[in-house]
Amino acid sequence: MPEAIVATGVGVVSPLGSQPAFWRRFCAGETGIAPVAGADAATPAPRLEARARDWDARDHVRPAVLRRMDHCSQMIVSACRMALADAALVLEGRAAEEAGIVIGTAFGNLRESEDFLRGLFAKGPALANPLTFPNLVLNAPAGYAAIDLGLRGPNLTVVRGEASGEAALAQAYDTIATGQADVLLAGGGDELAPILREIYRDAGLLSPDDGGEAWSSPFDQRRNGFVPGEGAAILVLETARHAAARGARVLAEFAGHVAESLPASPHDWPTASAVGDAAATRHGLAALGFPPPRAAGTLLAVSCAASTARLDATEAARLAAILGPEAPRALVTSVKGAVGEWGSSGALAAVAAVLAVATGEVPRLGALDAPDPGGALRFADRRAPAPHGGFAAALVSATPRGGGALTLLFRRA
Amino acid sequence: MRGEPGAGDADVVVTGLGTVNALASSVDAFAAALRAGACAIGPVTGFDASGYRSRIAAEVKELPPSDRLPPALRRRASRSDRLALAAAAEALRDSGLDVAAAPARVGVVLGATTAGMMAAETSLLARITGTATRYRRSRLVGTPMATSADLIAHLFGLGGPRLVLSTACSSSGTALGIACDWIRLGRVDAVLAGGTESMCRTIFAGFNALKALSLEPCRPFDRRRAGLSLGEGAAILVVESAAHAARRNARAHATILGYGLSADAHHLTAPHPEGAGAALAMTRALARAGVAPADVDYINAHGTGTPLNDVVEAAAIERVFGEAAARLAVSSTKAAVGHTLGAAGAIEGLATVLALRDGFLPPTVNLEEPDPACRLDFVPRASRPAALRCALSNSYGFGGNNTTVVFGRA
Repeated sequence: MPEAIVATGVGVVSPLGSQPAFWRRFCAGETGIAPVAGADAATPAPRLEARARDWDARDHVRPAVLRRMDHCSQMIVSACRMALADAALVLEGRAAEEAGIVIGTAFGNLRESEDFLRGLFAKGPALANPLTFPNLVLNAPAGYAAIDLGLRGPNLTVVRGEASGEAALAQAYDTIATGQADVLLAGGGDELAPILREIYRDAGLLSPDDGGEAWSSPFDQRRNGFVPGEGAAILVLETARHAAARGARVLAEFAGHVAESLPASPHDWPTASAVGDAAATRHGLAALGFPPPRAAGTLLAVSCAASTARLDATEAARLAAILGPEAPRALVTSVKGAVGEWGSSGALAAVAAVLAVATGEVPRLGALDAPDPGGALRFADRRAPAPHGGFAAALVSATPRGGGALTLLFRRA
Repeated sequence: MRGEPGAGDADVVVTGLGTVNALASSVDAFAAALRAGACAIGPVTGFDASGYRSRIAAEVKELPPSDRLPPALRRRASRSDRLALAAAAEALRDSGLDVAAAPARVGVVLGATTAGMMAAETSLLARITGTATRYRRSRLVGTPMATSADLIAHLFGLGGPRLVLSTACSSSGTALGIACDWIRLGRVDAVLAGGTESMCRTIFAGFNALKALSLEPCRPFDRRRAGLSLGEGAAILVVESAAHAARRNARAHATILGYGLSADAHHLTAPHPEGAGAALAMTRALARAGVAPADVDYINAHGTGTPLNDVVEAAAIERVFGEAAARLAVSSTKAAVGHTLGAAGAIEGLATVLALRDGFLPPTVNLEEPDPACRLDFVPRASRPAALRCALSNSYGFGGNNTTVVFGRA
C-alpha cells in the first residue's frame, strides 16, 4: 500500500474567477457563461462562451518568464502560483529540485498555433515566426512553470481529450506513489480559440441556444450542446508525511483512481446503453475503500456532464451503476454548466471535489430546473440542502471520447 | 556488492517489438539497417518543401496498408494512427500475448506531439483558400492526440488504462517509463508502450524558422554538425511484468530496470548550459534502477546534431559517469532514422533493446570528424559487435524536460 497522498492547496483561473470567488460563486449556483466578447449581429451563432476572468498573469508570473508566454501557459502558471500560495508552500533549493508538475491539456496553445499556420500559409516558411514556435508544444505550460518556479522534478504533460485534467491527476498520483516526487503541482488548462469554436460549431456539438447567459445545464431535459470555455486548475499534491512535516493544512486525501474501458468508437462517446454495470470501476473503487461507511456521511460525484444529450445520459447511467445502492446518499454535480467545456476542466472538477470535502459546501448545478430522469441520482441543484456533517468522499468522473473512462476518488483526510 | 544487473533483478521485461520508420517497416529490417549503418534521410516528399531552408527529412515512404482497419475507421485514421497501429500489430504478434484472456490487465501508453496535425493543417488551408466553407467533422475527428491510443485499445481489445504523453521530444521515452510504473503499481500485467509521429508543416516550419534544421543529413557529435533532421515513424514495445511473462513462457528481448525524469527549469528550447537537467535524469534513472555507472556499457544518446545539444549531453554523460565514461559507447540513431520527436524515445528505446539482445553497438552514421569538445566513443559510421550488460536511452525535449530509461540484458 503506497503512502497516503493529500491535497493541500488549489489554484484556479476560471470563468467564475479565481479563489475564493470561484468556490463561492459555484456554490451559489452562478454561471461564468457570457456572450462572446465583441460579438454583434454579424457574429455567427452560437454566441456564448465561458471566458476566464478576474485574473492578471502579471500578478503571479515573474516578468522575465511572462514576456514570451502564451495565454494558455499564463493561465496555467498563474494557477500554479495561486495553488502554492494557497498551500503556504515555498519551494526553494532542495525542495524545488525534487518537486515536479503534471499538466493535462487537450489542445494547449491553440490560438498561437492557428496564427502560426495562418502566417505560414500567407507568407511562406521564410517568414514563419521562430519566437512563437516553442510555445506551440503542448508541454510549454509545464516548461514555463518549471522555469518560473524552479521545479526540477518530473515534468509531465498528458493528453486525454475531454479527460485530460483527470488524466493528469491520475498520473500525478502514480508519480508520487512510485516515489518519484513528494510534492507535485497537478492539474491542467485549455484556452478558448476561434478555430476550436468553429470546428465544434460545424460538428454540431455546441448549444445553438443564444438566449441567455444562464443556459448550459448538465443533466437538464433541455440540454442541447455545450458552451466552449477556458481556464486552468491546479492542485498541490503531497505525501501525507511531507504535508505533516511542514504542518500543512490538508484539504482532502487523494485516495486513488480507476480506469475503465467502455465500448465506444475511438472517435466518439460510448452510448449510455454500452456503459453496463461499470464493474471495473466499482471493483477498483472498492479496493480504494469506497464507499465509506454510511455513518461517515454524504458522498459527492463531480461528473463530466457538459449539457450535451448523449454524454450526460451516459454519465448518468455510469454514475448510477458506480454508486449503486449508495446513490440515495450521493449528490451529483458538474462544473461545466458554469465554466463551459474545456478539455482539461476535469482538473477544476477535482478542485471542486477537494473543496467540497474540505468545506462541506455544495457545488451546484445552478441552471438545473428539469432534471432528465436519472434513476436514483440526486442532483445538486439550487435547492439541494448542504449535508449534515459534510462530504465523506467525492468522486470525479470522466467519460471522454474513445471510451477510456477515468474515476478519481478524494476523501476526508 | 551487486552482481551484474540483469533479468534476475528485473520485474519488467520487454516481450514484443514493433516499428515502422523511415529505415524499415519491421523490427528485423530495422535491426539489419542499424547494423548496416544505413541513413534514411532524403528529400521531403510529403508536402511542398520549396521555400524552406532545409528540404530533407527521414520520411516513411510507404504507409502501412489500412485494409486491416474497419471501413468506418479507415478514412478517419491519421498518418500517425496508421504508423502506430502497424507497430502495435507487429509488437503484439511478436509477444504472443493473449489480450483477450484478461483485457483489463493490458494498457496502452504512447508519446506523440503532432498526431493528425497534417490533416488539421489541410482543413485550415482549405478554409483559408475558400475550397471549403466549413470544417468537416470526419476530417478532424482523427486529429486529436489521444486518438492513436484509443484506436489501439479499440482494435486490439485492450481494457486497461490509456494515456498519451506529450512532452515534446521526450514523450515516448517517458511513455516507456510510465508503462513500468503501471506494472510495478500492479495496475496491469502488460502495456503497449511507445510513440508515434508523422511529418507535418507546423513542425517542419517551426524547426526551419528556428534554424535548427541541418541542410544535409544530420551528423551528431561531428565537429561540423549544423542541426537536426526531422523524421517520422512509430515504435511500440510490449512491456510486461516479468512474472507474467515467465508464467506464459514468453521470450524476453530485454529488461527495463528503471527510468528517471527531470526538468532543466532553464529555458523553453535551449538546454541548460552545463547539462544539469540531463545529468539529473541519468542520475535518477540509475538510482531507481539500482545500477552503478560502471555497469553501463552503452548509451543511446538524444544526440540531435544541433551544436548545443550534443556538447551539453556529452558533458552531462562525462559528469555522471566520471572515469567509467572512458569505456562507454555512446551513439545517436537520429542520423539514421531522423529525429522523430514524439516517437524518438520509443524508436531509440527499440534500438537499445536490439543492441542488448543482438550484441552490437548501433553506429552514429554520418559522423566523420568527432567534435574535440565531445570526448566519448560515439561509434562512428559502422556498427560494432559488443556484449552489452546495461544500456541507457536519453530523450530530451522542448520545455526542458529530460528522460533516461535504463535497459538490461534479458
